[in-house]
Amino acid sequence: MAEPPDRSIEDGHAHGVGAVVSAADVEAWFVREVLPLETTLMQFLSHNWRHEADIADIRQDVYEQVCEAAQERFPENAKAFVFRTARNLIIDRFRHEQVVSIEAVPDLEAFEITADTPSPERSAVARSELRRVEAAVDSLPPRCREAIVLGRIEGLSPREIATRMGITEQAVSKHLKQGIKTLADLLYGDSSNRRSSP
Amino acid sequence: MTDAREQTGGARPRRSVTVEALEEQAATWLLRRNFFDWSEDDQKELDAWLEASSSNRVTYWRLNAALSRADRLKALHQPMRKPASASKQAFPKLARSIAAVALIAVAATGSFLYLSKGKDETISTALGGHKVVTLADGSRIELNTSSTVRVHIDGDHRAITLVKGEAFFDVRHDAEHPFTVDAAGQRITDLGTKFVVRNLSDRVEVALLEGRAHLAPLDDNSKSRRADLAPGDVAMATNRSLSISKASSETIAEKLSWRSGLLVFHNTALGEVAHQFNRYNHGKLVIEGAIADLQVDGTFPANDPMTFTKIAGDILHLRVERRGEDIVLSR
Repeated sequence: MAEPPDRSIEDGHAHGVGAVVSAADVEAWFVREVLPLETTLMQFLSHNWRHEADIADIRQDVYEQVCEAAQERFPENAKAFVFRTARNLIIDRFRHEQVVSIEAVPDLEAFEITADTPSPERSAVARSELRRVEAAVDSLPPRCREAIVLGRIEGLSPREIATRMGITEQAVSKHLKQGIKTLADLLYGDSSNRRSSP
Repeated sequence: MTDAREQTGGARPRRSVTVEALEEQAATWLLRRNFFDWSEDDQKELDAWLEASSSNRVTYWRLNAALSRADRLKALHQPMRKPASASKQAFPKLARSIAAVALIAVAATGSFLYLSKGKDETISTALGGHKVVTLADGSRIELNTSSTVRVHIDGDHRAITLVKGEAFFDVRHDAEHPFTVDAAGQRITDLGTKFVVRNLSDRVEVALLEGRAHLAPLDDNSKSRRADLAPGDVAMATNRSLSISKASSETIAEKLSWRSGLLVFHNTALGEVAHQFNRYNHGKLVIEGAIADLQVDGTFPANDPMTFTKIAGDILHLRVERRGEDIVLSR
C-alpha cells in the first residue's frame, strides 16, 4: 500500500522527485550550518590533499554536493555530512591519480568530526561576532577596506566613493568586488589569507 | 561493487568554470545588486543565473553571507567621549570612519538651554529624549531619557533636584556657591567634579568620573552612612544602606554612552538589554521564553531597537516579530 507522500518526506525517504526544499531554505541552512565549518574544512583538505592548487576546487565541489543533497533533504548532522563528502571527494581524486595508499586515506577521526561535538555556545558566538567582523574588515587591503566601509557602512554610492577616494568608478567597482571576495575568505576560510591583494 | 563515486553521486569532471571565475561572476552580481540601481529585470536575470547551477548558487550564497555580516558594523560605534585612559580602541581604523555617524546622533538628540541666576526652573525630557542644560556659571547638566530636574539658583546655593531619571553633571566648582543634587532621599555635594546620578525612586546610583563629591542622606536622622566619593566610585544608596564599588573608567564611560545616544553592552543578559532599550523607546522589546539569559556584546543606537533585534536575531538565532509597536524576541 502506498504511503501518503508527505509521510515519506517526514521519514526522510524522499526520492529524487525534484527539489523538496526551497532554495531559500537551502541557502539559510548553508550559511548557518556549512559556512562556519569552512576553516576546519580547509585545514582538512590541505592536510589530506597535497596539491594546494586544487583545494579551492575541492571545497567548491563539497559545497555543491552538500547543497544538492540538502535540496532533497537536510542531513541530520551537517558537520559529519560535510566532512564525509570531503573525504569521498578526496578518495575519488586519489583513485583518479591512482596513488591511493593506506596512509593517504583521509582521517576523519583526527578532525574529531565523527564525534557529536556541540557547536560553540551561542552567547560566545554573539559576544565575538561584531569583533570578528570588525577584525575582518580591518584586515582587508587598505583600498578595499576604504571602499567597503564607505559603500556598505556609510552608505555612499560608487560615484561618491570615487570622489572621496580620488579614483574612477571602475576602480571603485574593482575594489568593492575584491573586498567582497576577500571578506568571505577572512570570515569563513583559512586565516592564512590565500588571496593576494590586487 | 559500489565505490565512492556512486556513494557521493559521482566524481565531478574537472571544473568547466574555475572557482576564481565563479567568484568573479558572483561578486559582480553582488556589486550590481548592492551598490547600483537594481530593477525587476535585473532580479530576474540574477534568479536565472542562480537557477542555472549549484556552482553559481553556492558561490553567490557564500559571498552574500560575508557581505551581510559586514552590515552588522553599521550598528557599531565607539562611544564618543571615552576618557583617554580608557581609549583602548580595538579597531581604531574603523572607529574613525564611523565617528561621523555618532556625532550626528549627538546633534540630533541634544538641545541647549540656558539658565541664569535667580531663576527656578523644571526641565524634563520625554521618553527617548536628551537635553543639555548649561547654567550661568558654566556647569552643565545632561538629561537622559524620561528625566526631570528642578534647578534652583539663589545667591549662595546651586540646588538641583533630580526628580526622576538620570542626569550627568559637569560642575564648575565654587566653594562659595555649593552645588548639590538631591535624589531619592540623598544629597550629593560637589567638591569639583563630574558625576552621573540615576534616581531609581527607592534608591540612587551615583558614579563619579572626576574630582570629588560628598554623598549623604537628606534626612539628618537617617541611619544611612555618608561617604566621600573618589573617581571610579559607584555608590548605591537607600535610606538605610550605602554600598560603594570601584568601576574602571571604561565601565563608567559606558554608563555614560547615552550621552552619545548609544547603549553599550558587555556580556549583558538579553533581559537587561531589553530593559535598557525600553527606557528609550515607545515600542518595547519583549522577551518570550527562556532566552533572557543569553548574553549580548556590542554598541547600539539607543533609539533604534530594530537594528539591534535584526543583528541579535541573526546571531542568537531568535525569531523577531513585530506586534503592533512592540518587537517580540523568541526562539
